[in-house]
Amino acid sequence: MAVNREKIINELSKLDVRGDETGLINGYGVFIQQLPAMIWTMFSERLTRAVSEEMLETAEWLLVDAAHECGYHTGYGIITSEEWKAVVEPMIEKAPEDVLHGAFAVFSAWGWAKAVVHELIPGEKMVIRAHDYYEADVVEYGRSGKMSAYTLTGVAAAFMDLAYGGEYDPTGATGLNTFMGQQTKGIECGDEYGEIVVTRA
Amino acid sequence: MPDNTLQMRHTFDRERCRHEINGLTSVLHCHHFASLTTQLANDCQLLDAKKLLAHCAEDTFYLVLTDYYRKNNIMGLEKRFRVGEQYFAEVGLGKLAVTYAGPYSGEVVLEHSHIDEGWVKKWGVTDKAVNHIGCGYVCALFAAAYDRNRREFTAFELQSIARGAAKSVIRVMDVTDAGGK
Repeated sequence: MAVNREKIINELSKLDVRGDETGLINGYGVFIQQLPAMIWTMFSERLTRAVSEEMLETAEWLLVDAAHECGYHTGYGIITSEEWKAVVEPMIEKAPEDVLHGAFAVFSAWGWAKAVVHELIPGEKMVIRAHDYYEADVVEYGRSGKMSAYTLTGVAAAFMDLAYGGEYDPTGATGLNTFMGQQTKGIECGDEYGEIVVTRA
Repeated sequence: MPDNTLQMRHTFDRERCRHEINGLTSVLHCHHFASLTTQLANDCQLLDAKKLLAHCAEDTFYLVLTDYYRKNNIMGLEKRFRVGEQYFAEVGLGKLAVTYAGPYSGEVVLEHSHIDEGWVKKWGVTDKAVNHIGCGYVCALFAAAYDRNRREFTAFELQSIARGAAKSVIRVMDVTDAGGK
């Protein structure tokens, strides 16, 4: 594999992201914010702990869906950005597989998770392992019975959409949701790492 | 550097792949994520998830602002509001200005708003209030500036960019019997 993960993380974690004179951050074709992670984990945890058991699956699906759509559009913005062209693209020998490895290096550089592609069956299946991710912070003692890596799950599926789901569609009508993610392990549940299995939807 | 100028200490923990701003793990997200989370809050009426999202914002930013004021000895309303306005802009939430503030009420104007403009970019103008995160932020800002506690202020939009106005205007009101200190 030609992708130098360390180099990508070193280069792209240094990006200075801050609001301009309008207080907005325009980049990668989207508006970006850089908020304390706790606002998102607090919302997802309070929401999923407050809903009834019958509603839990729906609430979790909506949280994953928000990340899935975010990952699809922002992911496309990332892999077509100047930063990507300068740092990652020269390392790409085999697309889209190397693109996926590069994308997860960027994913780590952005602080979403320290995540790597553990297994990849092109066009069919991907297994992601994350040895640190902010969504695990909802548990500080003991282990939870509920997995909480909604963002990681959604974004992992989105990256497979971008790799194997056909041409990028800015409306999301096609291309998006051709894959789905399932969390199978979680640091918040006492596992050594978080694991997401992505398969065809 | 003047003490009403916000200082953001941004670090990256290479071992854990985490960004920290002033000691708190921070993460980049886009307007799609914020819009879909807001839509989820709007749709989940059984739980009043709009209030839940606003409270999550209030709790988060109350911690951010009170911690910053304490560590940097930021005293006085004007300095505290300036820091709060700068923080809002630095993290990409938009351009916020406190129009007036008193112990019982206040008003802020948003010339730009990530939540509103992101919503419009994604789905167009709406007839619903969407900036629950902004309202939570404003409650946190007033509570922190006045050395009050969380949930002592409430906020609601008088007009908003997402609903077609040129600017958003958020009114803040004291909700305690005790009033201001």
